[in-house]
Amino acid sequence: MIPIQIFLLIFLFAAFFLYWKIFQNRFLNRIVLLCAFLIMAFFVLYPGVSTRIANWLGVGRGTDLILYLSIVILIFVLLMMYSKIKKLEEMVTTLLRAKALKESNQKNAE
Amino acid sequence: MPASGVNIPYSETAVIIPAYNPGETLLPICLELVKKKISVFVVNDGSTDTGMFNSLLELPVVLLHHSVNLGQGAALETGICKALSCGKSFFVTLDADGQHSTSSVDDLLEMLMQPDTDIIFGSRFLNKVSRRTIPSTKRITLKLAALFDGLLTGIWLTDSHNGLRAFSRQVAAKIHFTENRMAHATEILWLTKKCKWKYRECAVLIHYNKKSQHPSRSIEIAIDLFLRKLIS
Repeated sequence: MIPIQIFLLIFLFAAFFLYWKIFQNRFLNRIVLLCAFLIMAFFVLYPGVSTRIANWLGVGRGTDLILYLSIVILIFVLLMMYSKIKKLEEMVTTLLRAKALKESNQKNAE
Repeated sequence: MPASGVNIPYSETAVIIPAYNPGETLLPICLELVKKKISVFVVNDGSTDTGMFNSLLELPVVLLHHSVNLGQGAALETGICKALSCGKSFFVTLDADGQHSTSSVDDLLEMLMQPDTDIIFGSRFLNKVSRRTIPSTKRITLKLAALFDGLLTGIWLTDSHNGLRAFSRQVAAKIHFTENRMAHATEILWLTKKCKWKYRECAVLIHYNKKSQHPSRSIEIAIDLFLRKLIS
């Protein structure tokens, strides 16, 4: 095993355990997490496989393929986060507006 | 009384002032408006310094408080909601920082009273004095913002990022901002286009002081909104 593999595996394990703790009582999330972890660990341990898949897809190296895929996935995740934040912002606005309207000094309004 | 002799229905008018940490300027604005029998709706948008609002308690001014700072667009909408529920027919929005003079409110309302007008946008570039005194960096960024808004919405105003606006009840009922912060200026143009409101521009006087928003913000705001519309 070469050093980069050890480093990546340690990092993967750490991330896996952190998420495993966060996803308490969320069975489906844990299944997805486990699958993702196993796939990632597999490609770390057998880098040759990713190169074969890459060649089949018309990409030169396996690492390039993984780089492209991870950028696509990251952008997708960012967009999901953004829309979630936007939704939260809207909820906060609705709540605070309702509170402001309820607590306004009605006596002064004609 | 305006020169043209149009009767301005002050008692049916609501002036909405979003205020975030307002300075000394807020009180005289409210006093002048109250003197005209206009209903004033001040929205405290989560100010950290609320001292100014206590001085308003003596006046017949409706005060609304956001517990945290949501942004000018959100504050405007809250004020409009309240004014709608108070049964007002005409709506004017005004900044709290003393940039706008209350005499502009008359000009805007007078224009709004004319047939076939739904919304009036204030423009500093149509006023001789404002046009001459505007700092050059601000002039450039405002012009760029107006260009941007024009390209985006197809509505070409000379001064699209101006806080002074007047509109009818029909317009007020339709106003809903998805942008809490400053991009509501562009959003209101979108609505104008979509709902086919009849709009006009009115020359307004702007007093420049140090407290006003940095001009580069308006570009930032416009780009913000553009990116958001692309992905949503």
